[in-house]
Amino acid sequence: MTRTTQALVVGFLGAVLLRLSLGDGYLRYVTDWMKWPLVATGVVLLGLTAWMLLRPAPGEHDHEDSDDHDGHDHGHKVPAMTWLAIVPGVIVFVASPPSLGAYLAERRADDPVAAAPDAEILPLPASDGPVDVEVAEFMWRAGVEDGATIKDRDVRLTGFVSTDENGNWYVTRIAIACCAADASASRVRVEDYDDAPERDSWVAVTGRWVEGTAPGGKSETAIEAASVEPREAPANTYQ
Amino acid sequence: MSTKTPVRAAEKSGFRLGQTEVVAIVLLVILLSQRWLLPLLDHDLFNTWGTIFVAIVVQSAPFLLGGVLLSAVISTFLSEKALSKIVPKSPVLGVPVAGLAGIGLPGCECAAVPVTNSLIRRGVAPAVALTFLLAAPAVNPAVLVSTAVAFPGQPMMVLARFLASLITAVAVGWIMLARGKLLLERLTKLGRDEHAHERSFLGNVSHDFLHASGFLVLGAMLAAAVNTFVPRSVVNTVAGQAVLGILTLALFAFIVALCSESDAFVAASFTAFSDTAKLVFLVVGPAMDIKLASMEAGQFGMAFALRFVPLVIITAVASAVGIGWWLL
Repeated sequence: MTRTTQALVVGFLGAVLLRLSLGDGYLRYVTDWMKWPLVATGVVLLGLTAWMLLRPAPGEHDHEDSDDHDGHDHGHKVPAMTWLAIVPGVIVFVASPPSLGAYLAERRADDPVAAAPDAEILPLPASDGPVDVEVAEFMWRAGVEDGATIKDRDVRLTGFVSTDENGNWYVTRIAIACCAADASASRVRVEDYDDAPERDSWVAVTGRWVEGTAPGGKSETAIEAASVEPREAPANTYQ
Repeated sequence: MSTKTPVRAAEKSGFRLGQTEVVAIVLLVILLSQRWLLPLLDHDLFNTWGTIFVAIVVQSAPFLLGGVLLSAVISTFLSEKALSKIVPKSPVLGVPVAGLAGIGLPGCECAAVPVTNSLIRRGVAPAVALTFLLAAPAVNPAVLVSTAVAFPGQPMMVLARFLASLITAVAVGWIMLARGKLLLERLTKLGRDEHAHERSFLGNVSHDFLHASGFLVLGAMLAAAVNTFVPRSVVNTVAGQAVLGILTLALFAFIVALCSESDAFVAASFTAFSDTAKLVFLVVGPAMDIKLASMEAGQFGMAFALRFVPLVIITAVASAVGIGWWLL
């Protein structure tokens, strides 16, 4: 790898990180608190690139001499593996991998989901209309005290659509703790609404909990839909 | 740091040009054939792999750069004299001190590899530096807090993780001192980068970054592949068996390469497994995974990695099982 190529590899990675973090792109891969560390990393890498391009070329001859004598090139040779450093940037620009969606959720559907928080379960706020509840929260509420906190309440769940091989469809969310590698999915089956929206599209499902359904129970958590409205996908699709 | 360098140096001019062209052509072919390749691949599968791969790289990049900056500070500004004042003279004593020093560096395991390399460069005994490498990602406060959050009502899990990880790091350091003489000498020789002190600060930053980034990307590619292609249900089938469960989660921790701040949440989701098996997952992961093994092979050489990686995994499993049996 020539010195110029080395600089370009570093610069390419910096530019990709900067581009992802200045828009909403980084939210497809990591949590929102990573924004400023990524901006800083991009800026430092681009600065480093400028320095690498502008630094005076070392006297090639001095270097050859010292290299030969222990058979080690400490100067500016880098392992061939460094070429791989361009792969993430190429993939971001060419394929632009989207947020994890229905495909992953369907594969992870049988994974156990997060347990209910240990603290006392507060009742849902009083309200005339439907109450917005996160999909994961709806699931653990269904499992606690036989679903007492959501029984006979109108709720609204927002998420994307995933399906199963039996023709059911689900309102689904994916949660990440650190980056997309540790993603876990939670989903609630939507009943009484056969006209399933398109897979991976975003919807708000208003309805009531189907009594007796809970995670790990005889029947997976379900909602009896009164209405289903299409929604725009949020900038940050993860919880 | 490849052992083939002499050969390569001899054919330098001709070889380098060929390599550049080959890689450029391969890249070009991949880029141009994408349109025809993608429909052949399972599109969802490829996208999922891509998302997880990019996610691991993006998440690691700031930590890697942080580690590289810190290691450049050590290489450029810290004299061997100053370091020898901080690190105890006897490596036998230095090993536990390095283990405890790991508490003070909250960060990702990717940051620890270049820092360890720079410590060895500056004359710190390799066994001491390696103990730091194992301890830093595992026992820092950020990791312990996230473990407490992921295991509500199980404070023993946090204590067990802290103890088992610390014991692993110190035990590996001492084993290397007692048994790994030859390996450590090789490492000292390999690590001694006489030019490090001559290079400017930025020179060291770019050198270290270029040396580590490719191996990080390789590790991320492999980890993302496992994450995408191996369904978790395969892992869950062995949950009932005590020994098989432990070995499976140890292997899984190695191949999925999660960052140590988030692995507790994944461990907590393995509800079917025993607490000891979950602890094994939490102790093996930060100490050794496919991404770290790849970076260590790059920094310290393949021969070293082939011995060091199994040693760490076996020690980590033994220590986690012991502590788990005692505390959990």
